[in-house]
Amino acid sequence: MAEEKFPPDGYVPTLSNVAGIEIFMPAPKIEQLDVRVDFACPNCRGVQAYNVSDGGLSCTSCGYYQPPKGMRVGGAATSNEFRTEESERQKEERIRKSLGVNAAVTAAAASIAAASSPSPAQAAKIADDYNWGEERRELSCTNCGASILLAAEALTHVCPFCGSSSVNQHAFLQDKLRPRYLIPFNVEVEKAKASIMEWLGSSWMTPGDLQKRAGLDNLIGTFLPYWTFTATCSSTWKAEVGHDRTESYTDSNGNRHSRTVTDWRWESGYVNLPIRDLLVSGTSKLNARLLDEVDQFSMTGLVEYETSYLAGYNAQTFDVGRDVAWTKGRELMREMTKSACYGQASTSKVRNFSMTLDYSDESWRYVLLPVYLSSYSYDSESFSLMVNGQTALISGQRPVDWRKIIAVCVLSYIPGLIVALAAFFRWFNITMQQTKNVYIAAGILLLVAVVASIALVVSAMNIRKKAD
Amino acid sequence: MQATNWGMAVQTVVCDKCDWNFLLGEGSSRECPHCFEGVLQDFDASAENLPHLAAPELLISYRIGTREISSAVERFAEEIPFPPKDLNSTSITNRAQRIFLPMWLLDAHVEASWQAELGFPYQVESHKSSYSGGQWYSEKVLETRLDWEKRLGRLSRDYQNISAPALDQHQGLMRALGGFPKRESEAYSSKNLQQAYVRLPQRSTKDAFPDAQENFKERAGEEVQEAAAAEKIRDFRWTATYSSENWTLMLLPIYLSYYTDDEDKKRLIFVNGQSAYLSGEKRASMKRARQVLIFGLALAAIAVLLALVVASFYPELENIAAIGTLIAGVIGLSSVFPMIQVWQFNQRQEQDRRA
Repeated sequence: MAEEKFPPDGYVPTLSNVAGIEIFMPAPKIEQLDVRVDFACPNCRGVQAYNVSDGGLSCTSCGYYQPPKGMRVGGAATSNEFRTEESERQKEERIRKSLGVNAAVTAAAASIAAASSPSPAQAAKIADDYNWGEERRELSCTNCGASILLAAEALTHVCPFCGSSSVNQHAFLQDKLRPRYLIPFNVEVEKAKASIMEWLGSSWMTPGDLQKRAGLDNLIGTFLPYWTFTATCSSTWKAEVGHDRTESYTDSNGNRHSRTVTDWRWESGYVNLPIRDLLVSGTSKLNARLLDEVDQFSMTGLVEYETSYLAGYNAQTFDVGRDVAWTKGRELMREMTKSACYGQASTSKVRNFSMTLDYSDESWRYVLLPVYLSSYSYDSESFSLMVNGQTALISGQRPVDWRKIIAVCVLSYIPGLIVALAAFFRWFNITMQQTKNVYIAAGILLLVAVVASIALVVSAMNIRKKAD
Repeated sequence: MQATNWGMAVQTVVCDKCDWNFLLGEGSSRECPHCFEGVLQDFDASAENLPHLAAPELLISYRIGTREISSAVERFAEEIPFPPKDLNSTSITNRAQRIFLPMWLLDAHVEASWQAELGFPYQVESHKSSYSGGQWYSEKVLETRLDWEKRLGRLSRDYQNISAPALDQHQGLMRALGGFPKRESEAYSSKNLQQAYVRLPQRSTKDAFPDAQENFKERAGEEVQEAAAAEKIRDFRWTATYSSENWTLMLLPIYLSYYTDDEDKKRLIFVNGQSAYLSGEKRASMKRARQVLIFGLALAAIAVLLALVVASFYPELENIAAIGTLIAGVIGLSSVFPMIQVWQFNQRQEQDRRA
């Protein structure tokens, strides 16, 4: 019988501190740096692009189809702990030391050492964490500062964030963490365009010719960098909670009245709130208000990172680091926990509130999420648009036709003015006795008109404010 | 039968009551040091019927004497409500017998292939926050966790003095005696056997080998952990072959004594000869509890009588008489409690013993 191979494939020798004991560890995963993936059709050498409807690569010339390789993982996607830099350094040092000693005596370790410089462990980490697996070029917009990765053969000269056409290209610095998971585009570009057109014409406050004049040729599918954070927030709280009751009293003149009195009683409670996949944007170059409205993604759509999903799309690197994003994530989590604590109080009247919060089982992921970015000009002013590539949810800036707003405001005052004039000139046989009541009615109508006007202006500003 | 190489004349003997067999030195008592009831008879079976009769390699000597035993007995008795009269340090120390318990030691060369998960520590950052006065306060907290990494390998090592039980009751005895530190062992010398009995092994080396293998595995696991500079090890599995095996004995020192309960039944007391760890069956004395009851009832009767006399002859002191009667009632009732306490304690001990 053939002797079983020892060590099995995929294991390399490592340092042992005791004579007579040999130790083997799984060989660190090595990925080749700067691997260029050509999305050329194996059938006709035509250009391949990710096909939303099929979920794979399709040739734009002959229609040859290749199914996707990345596996759908959804919420089961691996998360990372918040290890300290010291721990990461120690682990790297331990692996380097273990392999380094044996590199001189084993072919396997020697090949690892040769494939990676300055050390096998570091190279493995670099290759594993920072490589995108596809040649991309980094562009930096001189107008808004956004940096974006573009496929080498699909250089875009129009910044998808601000619409600027002046973009500088420079060599991509491979100093970014490699995303492990992404959500593929699920909305076809034509459908996204149609949704945008419909959305542009959906508000009466916008100019009537907006749909016609807003050109959408530059609708660009872009994978945006996101951090997802998961943690369990355990909190104990206490507060004085107000309970209203009505009591009767007699004033100095002997008249009976009733009044509302609040009794304050101490209450306390415990909240254990698991928060899964809280999204924090990894880019600061986009309009945060637009992003907040559009970034409602379902993490069940997560797939393992695979370069074919990026074929034909852009991908942006993060400029908001994990630690900065986690600080924001914790702030959001603590506010959510605080709300949950408030929710436990027996009434909504709360004062002297205090709480403690322990975060546990914290983990993070770096993912790419699909968004169509676009911008359009109207009356020489630029407006941004975003469409969620998974759900087709739209968020964007729209110009406001102030003439319409003013006209509606003016119209809302007319009924009140007519009633007031009728009282003044005693139209419609209004008697002296009735005058007072008609003036009151006119006042109410004018007041309603004022409130409606304010609401209208705020609403209109809200549409425009997104641009600020 | 005479055993050889012990450096002194020893005789194999067996108790005609409890069947424990010993090696007996010259001039030692023939009363069984285990059951304290039987007589030790010479044992003439052939050497093949006994697992091992060669002199031991190692021995842990006695470190404690009567003073330490007395203290241990006092502490033991304090845990028993109304302990039997016979449970006192004088009786226990006077009856204490020195016995050496045997344990197998195995030396061997081991060739093995193994696999395990090794734990390497790392730190993660966590956070705590608090909210009061409209403001948030946060602090960073560091937690240490283990990275479990798979390793496999080969091992070629010589191991010495790997232990294995030589008695069927070894586990139970070690639980009762609290264990012995092997590092305290020394080379065997016959002078350590003065006034001591040596319990003979019950289990053959063949029977003890599976237990020794487990201990080899445990030792190998510790060495693999050390070899990989890991903090923990788990799921250690191996396939091992043994050669150059050499079996010897190690002797463990204990004292065995007893006390008699209310029914004159002997209750054994085990004392670790190194650490003075003492254990034994605990029995409370119903006889002593009954005495307390009688005394209490007598006191109550006297109090009632006095109250009656006071009430009859001094009617103006009838309140005091009433109080006296009440006190008598309380004394009478409370004197029953010791009996309940003793009954409950003995029941509990009986349940524990069965478990």
